[in-house]
Amino acid sequence: MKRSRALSCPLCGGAASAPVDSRLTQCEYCDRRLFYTGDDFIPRMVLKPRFDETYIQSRFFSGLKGLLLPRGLPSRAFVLQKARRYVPFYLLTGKRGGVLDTVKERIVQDPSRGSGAWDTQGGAGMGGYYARQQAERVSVETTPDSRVVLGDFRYLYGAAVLQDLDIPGRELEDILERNLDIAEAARMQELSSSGEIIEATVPVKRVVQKGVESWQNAGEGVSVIEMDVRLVYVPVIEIVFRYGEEIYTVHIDEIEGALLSGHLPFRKEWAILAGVPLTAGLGFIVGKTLRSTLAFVMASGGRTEDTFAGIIWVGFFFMILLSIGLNLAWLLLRTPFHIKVLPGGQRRIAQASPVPRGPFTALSGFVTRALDQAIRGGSP
Amino acid sequence: MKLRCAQCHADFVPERDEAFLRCPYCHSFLFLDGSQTYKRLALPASIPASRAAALLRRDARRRDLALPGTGLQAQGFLYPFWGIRGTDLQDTLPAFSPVPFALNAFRLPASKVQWDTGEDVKGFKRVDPGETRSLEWMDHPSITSFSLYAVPFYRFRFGAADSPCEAFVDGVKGTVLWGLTPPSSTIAASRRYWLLMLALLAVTAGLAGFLPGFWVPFIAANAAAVASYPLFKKTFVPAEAPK
Repeated sequence: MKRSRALSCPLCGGAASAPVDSRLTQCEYCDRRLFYTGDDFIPRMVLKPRFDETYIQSRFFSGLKGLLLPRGLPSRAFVLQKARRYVPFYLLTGKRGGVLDTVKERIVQDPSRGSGAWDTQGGAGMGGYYARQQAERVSVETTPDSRVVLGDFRYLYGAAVLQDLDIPGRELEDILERNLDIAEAARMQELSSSGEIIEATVPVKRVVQKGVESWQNAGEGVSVIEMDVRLVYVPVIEIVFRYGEEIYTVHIDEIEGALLSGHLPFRKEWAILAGVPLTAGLGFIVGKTLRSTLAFVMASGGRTEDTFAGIIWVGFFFMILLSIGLNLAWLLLRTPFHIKVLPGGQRRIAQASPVPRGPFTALSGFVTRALDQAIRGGSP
Repeated sequence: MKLRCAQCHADFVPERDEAFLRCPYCHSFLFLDGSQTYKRLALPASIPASRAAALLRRDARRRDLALPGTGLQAQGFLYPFWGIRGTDLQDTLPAFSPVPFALNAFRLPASKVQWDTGEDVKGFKRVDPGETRSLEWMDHPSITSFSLYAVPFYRFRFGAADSPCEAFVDGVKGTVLWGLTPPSSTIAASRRYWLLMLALLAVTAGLAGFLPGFWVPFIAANAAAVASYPLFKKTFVPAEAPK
């Protein structure tokens, strides 16, 4: 619908819709069979999904188990939507070739060169004599030549921008490359009833131009002789689920059955497990320091200047310790972590959104500034 | 919108959005092929971007979802939706692709409607309708009428660059639709957690301060940490999803 296509039946003049999956079509008014000859028609193919619903379901639920994920996630995840998406790729096939300028090499013997002297120092005997004589007499002569080269090519290019969908295009392209032999002609009506067909938004002209330019730059004299452009669709299942008030997604490819991408909730117990010993450790250090300070004050025997200076330093040390340590313990809990699913089912902890301000953020800022001032000796 | 009669080739403008028409010149019955002709309508935006951001924040607070404090930018989009009617159905279907999860279940609200002239609307970027999005229903025999509606939405994206969280606010009614959400902000849980953390700090500091030597208070502090773990964990139980 980006360009207007006003087609009509040549027999009855009735409006005809543009063909989508086959050049052969039929007039809706007079039933005459029509063949669309326009250059803008692109044949479409599809890799049919190879797995049934049970397999996809088990693959999804097995992906919800792991040490980093909340315990009982498979039973607590509420599936909101399970939708199939057909991701388009351009398949460029054809022949390329041309006349390559080459060089013909010929070994010639020069009778004017070579002395035929005995190799007395090397001690190679008669063999050494003849080898040396041969090397001196032989030379390589080059003459310009040409050669006809011809070969098939097959390239895949993404036909839609997948950034907004969080589907890894590179991995999907590799899956398509490995399974291209099972691609079959697509019936678009059927596809649209079984899933969402993602629009091929990358203009085919740009892909062809880019491809042809790069091939011609790669080999001088080689040009594209013939080229067919097709659209191939790869099915991907997107499962959206709710965990509490949070919404997460997982993408599973339906050709090899692999987890492609997604986001999962993070098990917060790990943050508690890190925060609790940290707090206990801080308390231990604080208690021990207080005890030592008290002992120091008792031992100073009333020398007020030393005692005052000691208390100031201990207080400063406390502030650093508490602000940094407690802030860290707090942020371990407050940082919105989630688990990012990478192609092949690997997982990594990622920060989903900015870390909120902790109660000690202002204090740690003050301490950092004070330390900075102390190190710089009061200069700004 | 202009139509050409298949019989007499006369141009005319249809009065109603109907699949079956009669040519005003030769009076022949015509079927409007949906892939060629449809009525284009627009829902005018009644909510400004700043209000949309406030609505999103309010909804996030209600759900206890972590939103960034600053830098929440709204992007205005005019998304096309098919409004289809048939003998026994009435539905709204996205006419663009790919469809974000948040907009999949969107239904056209009861609102003021105007003709869509195709001109730019200030603050909104127009999204083109997709060629393949109407295949599913276009030839359905029970569908008698369909129109294309341009609906204003504000899109909010934030968080990690490679997997941003996403939410939409409908520019007509202000409904908040969530895509990928940020994790829970645990505001309520973290207050209790904070009190527990201070209590644990005081207990372990007291143990280390009053007990002599190193190992005895060290073991006591660790024992206190282990004993308090179930309490810490319990603070998160309300934040976890119910079974």
